[in-house]
Amino acid sequence: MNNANEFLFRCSSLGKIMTNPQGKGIREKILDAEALIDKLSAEVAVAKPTLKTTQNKLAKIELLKSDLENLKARKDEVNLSLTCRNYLIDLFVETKYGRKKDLFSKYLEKGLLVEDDSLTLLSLTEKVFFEKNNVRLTNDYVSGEPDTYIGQDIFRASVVYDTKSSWDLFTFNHSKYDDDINQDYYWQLQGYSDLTGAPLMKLAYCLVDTPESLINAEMQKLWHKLGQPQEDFQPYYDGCRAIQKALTYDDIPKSERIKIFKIDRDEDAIERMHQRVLECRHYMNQTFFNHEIKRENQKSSEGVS
Amino acid sequence: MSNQQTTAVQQQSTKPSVKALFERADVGKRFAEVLGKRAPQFVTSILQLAASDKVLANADPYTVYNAAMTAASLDLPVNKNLGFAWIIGYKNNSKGTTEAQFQLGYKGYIQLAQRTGQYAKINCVEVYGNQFKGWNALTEELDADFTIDGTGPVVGYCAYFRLLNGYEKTVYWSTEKVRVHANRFSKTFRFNDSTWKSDFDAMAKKTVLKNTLSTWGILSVELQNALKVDQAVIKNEEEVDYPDYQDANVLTKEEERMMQMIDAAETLEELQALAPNVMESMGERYRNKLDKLSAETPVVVIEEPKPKKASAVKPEISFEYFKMKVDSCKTYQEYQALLSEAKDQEKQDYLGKKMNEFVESEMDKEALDSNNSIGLFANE
Repeated sequence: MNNANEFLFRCSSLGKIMTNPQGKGIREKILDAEALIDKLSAEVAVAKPTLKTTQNKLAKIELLKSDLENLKARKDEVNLSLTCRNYLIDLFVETKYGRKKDLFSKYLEKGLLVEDDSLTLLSLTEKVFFEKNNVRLTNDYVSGEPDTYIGQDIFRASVVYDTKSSWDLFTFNHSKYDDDINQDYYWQLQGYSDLTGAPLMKLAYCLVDTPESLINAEMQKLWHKLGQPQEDFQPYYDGCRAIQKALTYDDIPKSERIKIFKIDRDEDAIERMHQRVLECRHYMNQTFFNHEIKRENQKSSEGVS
Repeated sequence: MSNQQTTAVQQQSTKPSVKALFERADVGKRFAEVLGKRAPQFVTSILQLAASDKVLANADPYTVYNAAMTAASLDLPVNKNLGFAWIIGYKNNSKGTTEAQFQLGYKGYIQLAQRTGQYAKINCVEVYGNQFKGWNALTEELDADFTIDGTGPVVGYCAYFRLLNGYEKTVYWSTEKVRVHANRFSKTFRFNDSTWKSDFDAMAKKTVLKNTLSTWGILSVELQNALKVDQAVIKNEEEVDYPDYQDANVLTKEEERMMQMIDAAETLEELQALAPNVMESMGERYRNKLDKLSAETPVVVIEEPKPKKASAVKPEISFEYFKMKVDSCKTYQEYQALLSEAKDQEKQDYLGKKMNEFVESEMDKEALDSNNSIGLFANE
């Protein structure tokens, strides 16, 4: 990859690039400076020129004008948040060197293993038989794989769904009773709407039993923690039972194990998302590929001479 | 192997819990007869296993007992961490019951082979990409460098044994061959929660070793019995079921989802909304539920929808979506599966073009592989 001009961002990462930088952006600062210059100029126009305050105001206007010039020279500079820039660095490293930053986590693993079970819980709740979508969609800006949808096909979907499988009862309830929708998921679903054209998206937090392999891994951790005891060692025995209970939920009604949030398609948000993708590509070109682009240019100019 | 099992333990009309069964005096006595002083520890390990595995705890206790007794009579510890043998709870959807299945690990097979006193050496290992050079199926010679540490992907699995009389055997299966075998013979292979997914290497080594021993090895009576009961639900000495085999009625996730939805449907409307997606395997369940709900709602005239295969009821999809589905295909079978959805010329042309490209690229790859292997041998 020589540049980021056609780089597609995953819907699941949109939340990171859509964070706003702290403080004012350059364009806002230009507007502020211009407004202040106008205000001070108006004050100076009606004041006695010999007064010290008038002199001070004139000096300040000069200073502001100089700042304004600098700001205007930088007005096309991309102003991205620290979170976004850090993410772009990680993304560049992953792409260039073929290494992943976050390889494994039990949370991710559970999410993958119980995808079908969460879909079943969603089917039972919505009373619609859902099938898993396995097609990755792309457009000029983003790529993504929504979990499932209602409609003749995914491009004629009336609703697009994404399921999130919680690790345990506690994480599930935190998501369930949080009034504000997680911003990462909000942008992920706007991304799906952009890809499919769906007018409505639903985010379903699901709590389903943890697979046996992960429960065993937790028990094994406990076994090591307790100094690899015999299997009938009471604290180990009790610990295993507690792990089993904490990670399986047959005793909790299904209706209490799912929470569905609705999100409408937001054209403005999608427009902003496109804009931000372009800004990120520009930033990546400037920061990571500039060196390579310069080298290419140098090579071609040497070839000409 | 003394396969006493249920014939020796009186089955009661109402099934006790696993714990209650194992605490019975006659059960304790049976284990003591087989294991002697080690019986209490062994029984505790089984109870511990059942306590930590909800499916097993709810399994038919007599199948748990039979599996445990089989392990005891083979004198193998039941512990997943040790990897000799284990007992797994298994939902039998065709019967609506949960049963315990006895499983041997590859270490269990090695252990039993060693006990025959006939094997000078026996082993089964992964072969990594950097170790593998070639396999001659005719002379059964594996050209691999096991002196270096294996790195990168595992390309195959090799089982080897040498008998005291000098007879030796080397068997090599490529990872792909193991995968094809498992896909063909294990119904749970494609499930996310199957042991094949969580511990592919151990399952692959066991498969290759089991196949090698059963075809060429010297089998003691104990080893023959082990081959018989491995991955089986043991009913009694004569009756053994193999629920993981392909012909068993194990449901896919979609079928399981449909089953739950049919069971949960409270009104005819809800049930009939499922009709277009009902698979053949769920037809009978659907009809039974339809009859039940119809009887409860006598006024409504119901037209029974004909259950269809899921693949046969797919609505026609747009070309754009079809194109993306084709582009997502990674195997020839996946391309073939889309043939039924290519209903117009545009889709057929696109699919045909992509299938041709795929075949050509596979042929190129094969040619490259054979060139590479020629190169490797030529270097030597």
